[in-house]
Amino acid sequence: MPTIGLFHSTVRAEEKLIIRAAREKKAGIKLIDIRNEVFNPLHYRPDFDIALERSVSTVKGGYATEFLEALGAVVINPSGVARICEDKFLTSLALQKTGVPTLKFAMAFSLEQAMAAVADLGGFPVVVKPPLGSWGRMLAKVNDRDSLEAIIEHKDVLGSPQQKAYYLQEYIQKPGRDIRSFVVGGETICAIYRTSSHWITNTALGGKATNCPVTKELSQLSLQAAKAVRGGILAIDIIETSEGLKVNEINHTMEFKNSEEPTGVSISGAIVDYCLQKINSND
Amino acid sequence: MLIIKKVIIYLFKSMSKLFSICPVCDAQVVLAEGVEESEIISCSDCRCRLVVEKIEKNTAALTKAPEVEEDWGE
Ligand SMILES: Nc1ncnc2c1ncn2[C@@H]1O[C@H](COP(=O)(O)OP(=O)(O)OP(=O)(O)O)[C@@H](O)[C@H]1O
Ligand SMILES: [Zn+2]
Repeated sequence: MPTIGLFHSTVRAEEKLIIRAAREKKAGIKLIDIRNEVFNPLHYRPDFDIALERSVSTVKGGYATEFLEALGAVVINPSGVARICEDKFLTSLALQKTGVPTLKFAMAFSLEQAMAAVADLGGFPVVVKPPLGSWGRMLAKVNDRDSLEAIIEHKDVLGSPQQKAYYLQEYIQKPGRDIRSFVVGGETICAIYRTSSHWITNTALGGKATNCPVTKELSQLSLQAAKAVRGGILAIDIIETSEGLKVNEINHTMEFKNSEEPTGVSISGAIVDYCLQKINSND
Repeated sequence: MLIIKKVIIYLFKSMSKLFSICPVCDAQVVLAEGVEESEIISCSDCRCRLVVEKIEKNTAALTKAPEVEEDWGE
């Protein structure tokens, strides 16, 4: 029986959906809590046919992936994909380089440089984000120089070295929602609108998920974005702007528990199918 | 007769349920069906977030869940 090694830390609803989908499809699934493993290349014996990396901790997931790949195992998503997607600046660079429509962005390391970056981006408001953050944490919409100064001073005093790299984006006036599309193995399988009265619409923060029809434009943009980061299994966050759809960022260990019901698509099933397909093509 | 049957079914069902004690407030915690190790649940009494560390026959070891870390996300 082909077996998927599910590398996880905290088991979220998503992991449970994947486990259930694997059992329904009669695929083997081995739950491996990365916090219980010793990753020593001299002693580690992989006993699965493919690894699915689903760690909530980006750092631990990243090391697990590099380790398994070094032993010759196939990991979904591969380390190259994870490295780009976990970092918003690297994602923006990859999108820009390949001509995928995306928001204007810049990185700066001091207040004066950040002020110059704001001018380049077309002025305030801008959005300042930690390049390695997620779940909408520590995003700031900055309306003027005073607020920018305050935010940068906070980060300089309290932040980790990572927090002292200021990733800035133009602020987009969106229609009270954004779009998240799901790409699995070169296909845009479904998409949701995330609607909220707050400009941060993450469903983790109380935004509402509803079905978003996958138009040709949306599908193509999603596939282009996925190709830019060489994925895999990805959630593409897209914003509707006055100039059309633009990619905001890409997630490589995506959450989707609120998306199966409104879209009617089994995202967990597609993930398992993709892993099984990969096992077969690598044989 | 019917009542006895219902009672037996109820007893049987409750026996197959997982029970544990909240490490924070000592309340009894009933775990949902299909719960997995490493899953985070919350105590219905004190609302603390708890990690299911280990599942045995009809009980589970619970510990207080860690705070969200800076590198957590999707
Ligand atoms: N430049 C922007 N202009 C307008 N809205 C934005 C901008 N950047 C982010 N948002 C909104 O903020 C929310 C979170 O943004 P983003 O996805 O960049 O953060 P995140 O922490 O990585 O979240 P997630 O875990 O969902 O990927 C989204 O709802 C998005 O629409
Ligand atoms: Zn409690």
